[in-house]
Amino acid sequence: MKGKNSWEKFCKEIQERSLNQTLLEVESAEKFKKQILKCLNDASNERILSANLSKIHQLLKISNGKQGHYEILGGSKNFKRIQDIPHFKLHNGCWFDFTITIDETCKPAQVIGFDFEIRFPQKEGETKVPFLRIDLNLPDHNNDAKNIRFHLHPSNDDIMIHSPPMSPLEILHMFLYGINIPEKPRSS
Amino acid sequence: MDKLSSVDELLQKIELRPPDSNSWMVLVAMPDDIQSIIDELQDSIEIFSECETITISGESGARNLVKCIKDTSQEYFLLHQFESWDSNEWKIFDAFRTQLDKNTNGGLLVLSEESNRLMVSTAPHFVSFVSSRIYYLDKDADILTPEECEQRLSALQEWSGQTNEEIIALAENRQLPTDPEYGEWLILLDRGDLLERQK
Repeated sequence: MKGKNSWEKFCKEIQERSLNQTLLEVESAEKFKKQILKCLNDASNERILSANLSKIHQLLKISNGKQGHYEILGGSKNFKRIQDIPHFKLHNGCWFDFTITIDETCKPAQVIGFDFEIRFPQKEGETKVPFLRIDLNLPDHNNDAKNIRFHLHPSNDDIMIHSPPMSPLEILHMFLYGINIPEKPRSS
Repeated sequence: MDKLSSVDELLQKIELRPPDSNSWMVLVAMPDDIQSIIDELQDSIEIFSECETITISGESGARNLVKCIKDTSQEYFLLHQFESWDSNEWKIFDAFRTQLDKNTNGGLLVLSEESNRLMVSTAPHFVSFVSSRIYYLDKDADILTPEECEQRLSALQEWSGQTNEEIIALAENRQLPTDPEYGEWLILLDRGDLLERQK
């Protein structure tokens, strides 16, 4: 096996490794939302997140859970990356939103999809908002097409590459604590 | 009495109580909502109280309740089922108020409006101890409203150029793309059941 075939085999292996090692099981959607709330509260108290508790409360929502499927929603849908649309803002100038899909019809309940997108402060002359989006695609009957359920978009909606296996809480922590915006960019 | 719009807001207040303050709170809710509130709190209160928490029923009366608090090793107390208490029971509870000083983490009473009225009129020491930390819960504000749901659906339609009906048809034919946005779309349409077909 060589060339493209090798890559496809690698993709399958990477995906299997990611799915096996990532904590996608949750006790319930409601309890998981509380863990997210706690994480956001702590970041607000530590002055990492600029939203106060009341603002967090306005931004963090859950769907009604009919048919045992839930969406946990952090901020509004914002495909065009417009600053005026409600989102979580960090003191370092980054801003983000997220959506998590939870299936409670299986036991234990499971995260079956998510998208987390963080946008970075624009540099002078930059016309597009730089961003990083980390997605987990929905499970698929077609053996999880392309073997790339866990992937990230590096500032480009059309490019997707494998992402490290991270749970939603780990990604949220990374957004809050793991991304440093240097005052003096390396490329300058 | 401060109004809270969800259990989440209460949990934020529990988390923010000053350390070692033995801070007690009262949550007043509609009688029909109390059990689901207790269930929700039992699931999550320890995340915010950051200590071991025990749920104790007031059904066996004030003396038993206070004894349970005294005897247990847990550090935060979630107290409920006060509906059978008359003014005499509240007076007994009030007389034992100082027994609640045993811990440093405090606790929460979940009451109906009627029980709160009785407490306020017959347990002055406890009410003064709780001070302004009596909250009224107007539930479910953390659930997506129909307007918010509609806004998200419009954003999804604009993004993909497809209608709700087209998305349902794709899901019914097991042709829905796997991008996470489509899962959200079905759930917002109350058609989470179609996600099963994609597996």
